[in-house]
Amino acid sequence: MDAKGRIAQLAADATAGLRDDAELRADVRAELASHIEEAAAAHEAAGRGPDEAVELAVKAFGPVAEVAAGLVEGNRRRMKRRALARLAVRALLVPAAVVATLVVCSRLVPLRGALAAIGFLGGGWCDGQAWSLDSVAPGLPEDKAFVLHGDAARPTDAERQRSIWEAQPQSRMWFGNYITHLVPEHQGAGSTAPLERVERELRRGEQLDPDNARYNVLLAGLWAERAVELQEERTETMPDDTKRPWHKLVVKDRARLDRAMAELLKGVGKPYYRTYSDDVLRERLGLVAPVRRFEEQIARIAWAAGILLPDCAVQRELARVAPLYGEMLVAEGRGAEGQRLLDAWYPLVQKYNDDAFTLIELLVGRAVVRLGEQYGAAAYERLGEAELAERTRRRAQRLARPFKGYLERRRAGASEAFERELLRSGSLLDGMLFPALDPEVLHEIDLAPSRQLEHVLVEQAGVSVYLVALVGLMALSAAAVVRWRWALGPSAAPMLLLPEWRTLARVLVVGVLLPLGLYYVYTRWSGAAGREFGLRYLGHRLLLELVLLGTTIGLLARSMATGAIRRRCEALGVEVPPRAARWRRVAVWVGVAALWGLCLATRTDRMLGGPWMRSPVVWGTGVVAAGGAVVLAVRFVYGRRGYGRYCATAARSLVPVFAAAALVLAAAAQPYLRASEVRLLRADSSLTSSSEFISFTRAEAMMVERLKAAVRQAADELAGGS
Amino acid sequence: MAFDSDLVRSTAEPIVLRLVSERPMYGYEIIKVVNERTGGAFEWKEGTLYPCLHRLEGAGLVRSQWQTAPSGRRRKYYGITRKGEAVLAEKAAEWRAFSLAVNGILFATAGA
Repeated sequence: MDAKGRIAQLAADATAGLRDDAELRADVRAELASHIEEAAAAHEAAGRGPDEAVELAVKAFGPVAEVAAGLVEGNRRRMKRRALARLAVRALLVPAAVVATLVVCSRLVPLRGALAAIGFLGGGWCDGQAWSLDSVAPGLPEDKAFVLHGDAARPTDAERQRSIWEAQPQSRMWFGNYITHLVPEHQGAGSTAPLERVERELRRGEQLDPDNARYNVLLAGLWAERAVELQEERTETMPDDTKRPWHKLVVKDRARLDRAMAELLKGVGKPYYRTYSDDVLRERLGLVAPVRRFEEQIARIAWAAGILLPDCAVQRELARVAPLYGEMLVAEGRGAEGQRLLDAWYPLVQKYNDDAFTLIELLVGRAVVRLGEQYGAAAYERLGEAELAERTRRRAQRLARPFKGYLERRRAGASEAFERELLRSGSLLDGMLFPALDPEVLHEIDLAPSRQLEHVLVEQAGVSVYLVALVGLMALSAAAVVRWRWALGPSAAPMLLLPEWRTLARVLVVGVLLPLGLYYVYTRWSGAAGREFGLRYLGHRLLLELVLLGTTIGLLARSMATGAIRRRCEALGVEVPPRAARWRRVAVWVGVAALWGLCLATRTDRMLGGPWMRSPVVWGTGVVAAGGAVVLAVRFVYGRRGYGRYCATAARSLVPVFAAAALVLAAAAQPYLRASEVRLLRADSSLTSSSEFISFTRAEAMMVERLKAAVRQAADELAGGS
Repeated sequence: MAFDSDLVRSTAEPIVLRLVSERPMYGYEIIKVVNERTGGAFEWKEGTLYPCLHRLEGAGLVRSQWQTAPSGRRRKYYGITRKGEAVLAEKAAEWRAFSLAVNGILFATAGA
């Protein structure tokens, strides 16, 4: 055995008692070997030959057994503490990082549902789907869940809604809600509710709520639908270039038509028209907690958007049939009855207006006014009643006036301009939900909260991806350890180097918290991140920023941790591979810095999308990046031949660093992002409807209330003037 | 003169703390300095020094750091910590009082 081998053997024998702690043993062994080499060098310097010098140094070392026993005794406390630390890494740190990742990622599951809901909203308002409030109110007590869904065992939606009324048989509201669900089941394809049943139930509603015109109007509408056919005669082009079709009445069942119109007149005489849909929405929204999550907001909006409005079609149809039938009656000599029908739209539309809680209903009301004017005034003209024709026009124009400004603004392009502004500065939801609303109302709305909320949600998804990536790196590290254990055998088992707390703190602060902090300042305070734009414009840049932030954190934390592990391995006598050329290390950071520069230079005032998204360059870059990541992963696992012990030790020792980084990342970013989400949802003054603002959205509720008040005022003025 | 091993062991820790408080030292250097300063009276062996150093490090009284000497040889240097300084002051005062007391008895003139 040569001198070096002899020294190594001596040091190994002296540290045999420390074998349970591979890192400590390697450290002490290296220290003892260094000591003996120093002593031998001193003897050599004193003129001894190399072998003799080593011989003397070994002799001076003293009995190995005595040194070994002393080292065990001297290190007992440290070994216990380090064993506990290793146990904590294995049993606490790594599982905690995995659990934190799962917890943070679990946030993405309801977000997927929210995205589906956005798709539903994007697909249209009234496609008959009813969005469940389950995701808003999971685990509601049975009685409250019953108010939301009714008896789930019943086969049809109308039956489920009926069960709620059956539990409160005196409730006009729940009966009205049942009818709201029953009528579409009768009207829809493959009708499950025969006319006789609907008639019976509408009569029941009339008994329960005798002053409500709704049941008579619905009956009239259902009968008229079967009794007549409206055939388009001609289309007139109006001064504003809109087309106005004229219909004629083809009577198929006169008796039924007579009954229908008599029923309509019965409704005209009643004091109010109530569907109670707003009260039902208010009651149900009151059951669920205030919005604290984005998906809850979406579910509320989607659910409200799914509320059925079956009355609208009936009201519109009757607005054509009634004046045409009225004219027919006048021509038949039944002047008084005919005139009541020619004027029926006027009291009815006021009742409809009082009941409306959505813009659609108001616009249907306005259409009823226009049809009343169109057919009523024309009929009076034909009957030679110019004064009555003029009165009809005056009434219609006054009642339609509140809509004039809104419609003119839309026609004049103000709405298109605002739509563009919505797309630029609003959230995706704003862009979907608000274009139909009045820009004047929308100017009063602060778009920032909903826009920033979507930024925060993307950042939450980004943090989830980082955590998954860190857990993935932990898994890759484990794979590398297994690979080297298999290749080198148990004799070269990799060490788990416990990072010194200062080193770990430096890695976490500089490698994780500092980039996060800089990102925070850049996005929230610098004004350079384009956060005044919505995701349609900013999405691509936000994505690039998040990829770069993740890359920066990953590179910084890994290079700092690997540097520390490398130095430690050198100290412990583990052979380490030569460092990558300096230019290569510099090139990586220059590349990252260049991408950050590119990010800053990216224009945010252009809408995301367009052909460039599908260009081969973009996809090619993506494929190259993904391929590069796979190559890096394989290289990481495979390591470098000849440096297996180092590669395996580095991989094993990186696991606690990755785990700690995941925990710090989750603890630092996620609570802030969640708190931001809650704060922004609270600050949102446009989207979330509440019991005070009942409509599809809060902004729509504001607009509806204004229009309703204006129509009411117009009706009051007309009543005062006549 | 060979000293009692218990006596050597009980004084080793304050001596090491004192030496590494002057400047960071590595193991071989500490042994050399002890031997020099005691005029060869103390002949410390590795079996005495390293358990002592590791105990002190485990207790947080000294901190170690690997460094590379100009010769290229890697050495593990030990330096004193704040906690170690406090313990050193305490031990030194204790030793001073103890040795005075023992000297006062062992070397007192009879009848004085």
